[in-house]
Amino acid sequence: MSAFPVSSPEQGGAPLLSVRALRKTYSLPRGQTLKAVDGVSLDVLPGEVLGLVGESGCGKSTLGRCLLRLTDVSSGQITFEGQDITHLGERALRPLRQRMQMVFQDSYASLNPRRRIGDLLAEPLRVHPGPDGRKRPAAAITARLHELMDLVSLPVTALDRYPHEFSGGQRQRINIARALALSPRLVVADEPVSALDVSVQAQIVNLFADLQAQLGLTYVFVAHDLAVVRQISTRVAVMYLGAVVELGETDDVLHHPAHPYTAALTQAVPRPVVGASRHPPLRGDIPSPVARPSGCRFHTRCPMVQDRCRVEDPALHTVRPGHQVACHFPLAAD
Amino acid sequence: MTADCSSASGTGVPVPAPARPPGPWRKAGRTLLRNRSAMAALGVLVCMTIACLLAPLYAHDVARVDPFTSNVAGSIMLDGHEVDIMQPNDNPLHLGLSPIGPTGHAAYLLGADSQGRDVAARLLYGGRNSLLISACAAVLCLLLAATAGIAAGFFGGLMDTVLSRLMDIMWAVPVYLFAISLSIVTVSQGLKLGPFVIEADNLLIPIVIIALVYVPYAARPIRGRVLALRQAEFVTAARCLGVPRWRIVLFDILPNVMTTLVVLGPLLMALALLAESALSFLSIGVQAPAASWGTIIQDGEGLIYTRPMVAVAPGLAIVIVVLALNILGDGLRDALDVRDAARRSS
Repeated sequence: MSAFPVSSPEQGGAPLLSVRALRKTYSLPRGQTLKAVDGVSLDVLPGEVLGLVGESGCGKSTLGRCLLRLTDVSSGQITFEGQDITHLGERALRPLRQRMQMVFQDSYASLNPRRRIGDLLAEPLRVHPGPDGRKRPAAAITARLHELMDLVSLPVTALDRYPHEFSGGQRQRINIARALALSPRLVVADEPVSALDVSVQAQIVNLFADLQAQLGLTYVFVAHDLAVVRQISTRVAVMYLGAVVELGETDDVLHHPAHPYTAALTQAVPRPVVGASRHPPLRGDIPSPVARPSGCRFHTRCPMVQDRCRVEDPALHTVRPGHQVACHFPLAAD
Repeated sequence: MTADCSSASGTGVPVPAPARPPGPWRKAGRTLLRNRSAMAALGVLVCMTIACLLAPLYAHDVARVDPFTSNVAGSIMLDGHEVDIMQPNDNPLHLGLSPIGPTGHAAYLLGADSQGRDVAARLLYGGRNSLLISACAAVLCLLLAATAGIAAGFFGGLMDTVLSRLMDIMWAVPVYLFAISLSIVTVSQGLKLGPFVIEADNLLIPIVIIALVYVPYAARPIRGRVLALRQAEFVTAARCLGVPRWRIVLFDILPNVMTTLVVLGPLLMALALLAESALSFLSIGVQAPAASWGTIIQDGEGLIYTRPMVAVAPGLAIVIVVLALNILGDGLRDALDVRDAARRSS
C-alpha cells in the first residue's frame, strides 16, 4: 500500500488516532514471515465509531492491539492525539493509557479470576493519579466504582464478587466499566460481543452505543459480524489478509460495496429481501498470511479476477467521496 | 460492605469479612475440610509434630532418660528388678552384648541402641530435627523456586535463558549425588562466608543444601505456569490499563501461582524429609550426638537382626510422614483445583 488515504471529508478536524503504512510481521521458523498487518493506513476521527470487519485471521485483532501498542509494530507510524506513539516504551505509554483503552473478546480470560470485581476496577484508579495529579483517595475511588457500576447497569453488590459468579454479558459489562474507569477518549473493542449469546449481543452493543452518546467516546469496533457493525459503526474498514481493502461510511460500504470481497461478505449475511442482487459466492479459504498471493491479495478468490489482478497490487483509492477501495475493477454503485 | 471493597489493599487474597461472598481460598479451605483422607493426613502430621515438640517432656519426666549420652554400663528398674541395659546375647556361647529390646515400660519403651540410649526418646528428638529441616528446606526451596520461576517466566529473554540453563545443569546431576557432594564439603569443613562461620553441625547446612538441590524440580512447573499466565488476557488487560510490571507480578501473577506453590509445598517437604534422612544416614546431615530419623536408622543398621526396632521405628515414622504429606498434597491439589485454574486462565 503506497497511497496514504485521507479520511472522510465530511467530519473535519484532526484525527484522534491515525495510522500510516502500519506493518506487523512475525518471524516463523525456516525464515518465513507472517504478515499479520500488511501496510494499513487509516484515521480514526473524534466521536466516530470505526468498524473493523473481516474473516478470522485477516489481522483485525492484531491491528487493534497495535493501535494501543499492546504489541510492538514492525514498521509504520501510529499517532494518538497528535503524538507519535509508534516507538514509545511501556513507561512512556502509561500516562497515555488513561485516554486509550480496550475491551477484550474473552470476557472471562480478561478478568483475573482471583480478584474481586471492585479490586479489578479499582486497579486503574490506583495506578493512575487523579485529576489533581495526586494519588486518588480511597473515598474517591469508591465513589468512582459506584458511578461505573451505574454506568453499565450492574448492582453495586457486584463489586464484592468474583468474575466466575457472572454471566458472559455481565462480565463484558464489567470489562467495559474497567475500560471506562479512567474516562478514556478512545476505546478499541476487540470483538466484544462475538463470544456472547445472540440475545445478549444486542444488549451489549446497545450499551456501547449508549455510552458513546453519553460520554462522547470514539470507538474502533472490531467484529466479524456485519450485523453488529451495521448497528454501531459510522464508518467501516473491511480487512482482507492484513490490509484494508475498502473504507467508507457504513451504509455506503454495506449497501453499495465497491470491492468484490465486501460484496461477498454482505451476501453472506442472510437478508429478508426477495430477489436481492446476488454476486457469486466466495470459493475456498482465506490464503495463508505467510504466503500471500502476488498482485491483488484477493485475486485467488475473486469472482471477477482478471490478468492485471494477478500481477499488480491495487492501492486504496477514492471511488466516491469518503469511500475508498483497493480494487482495479471496483463495482459500480447501483 | 461495598465501601471497604475499594479500600482493600489490592492483594487479590480475600480479606475475611462477614457478609462478603467467600473468596477462592476460603472455598478451597472448605473443600479441604470435607476431604476425609486429607484431614486424616493432616491430623497425623499434627500429632507427629506435637509429639516431637514434647520430646524433652517425655525424656525428662516420663521416661527419665538422657537420650544424648552413652549409657552402656547403666541399668534400669523394671517391675522392681534391676535390669542391665546391655545384656548378654542369647546365642549358645553367650558371646557379646546386645542393647535391651522393647520393654513395654515408659523407660526404654522401644529399647536401647548400641550405645544404650533410649530409642523412643531419640525418635522424638530426631523427629524434631527431621521435621524442622524438611519443613524449612521446603519453604526455602519454594521461595527460591518461585523467585527464579517467576523471573524466568515473566521477564523471559536473557533472564529466562540463563535461569533455565542453570536449572537444566542442576537437573542433570542426580539429586542425591548433588546433595551428597555438597554435604561432604560443607560438613567436613563448615562454611565460611565472610564474617559468617557456619559450623558443620549447624542445621542450616542440610536445610540449604536440600532446598538448593530441589529448586529445579519446583521452579520448572512454576515457570510453566507463569509463562501461561503472562499470555493470559487479564495480564494484557492490566498492561493496557497502564499497570506497572511489578504490580502485575505481585497482584496478577503471584495470586495465580500461589495455588501451585501451596500444592508443591507438602510434596517438597516429603522429598526433603527423604533427602534429609538419606544424608543423615550417611553421616553428612545431622551430626552426632544430635539425632534425626536418618541417624537413628544408621544406629540400628548393625542391630537389624537382633534389635530390629531401632531401625524400623524411625523408618516407619518416615513412611508415615511422607505418606501423610503426599495425601495432604493431593487433597490440596483437589481443593485448589489447580488444573482447572490453569485451563481457565491459559
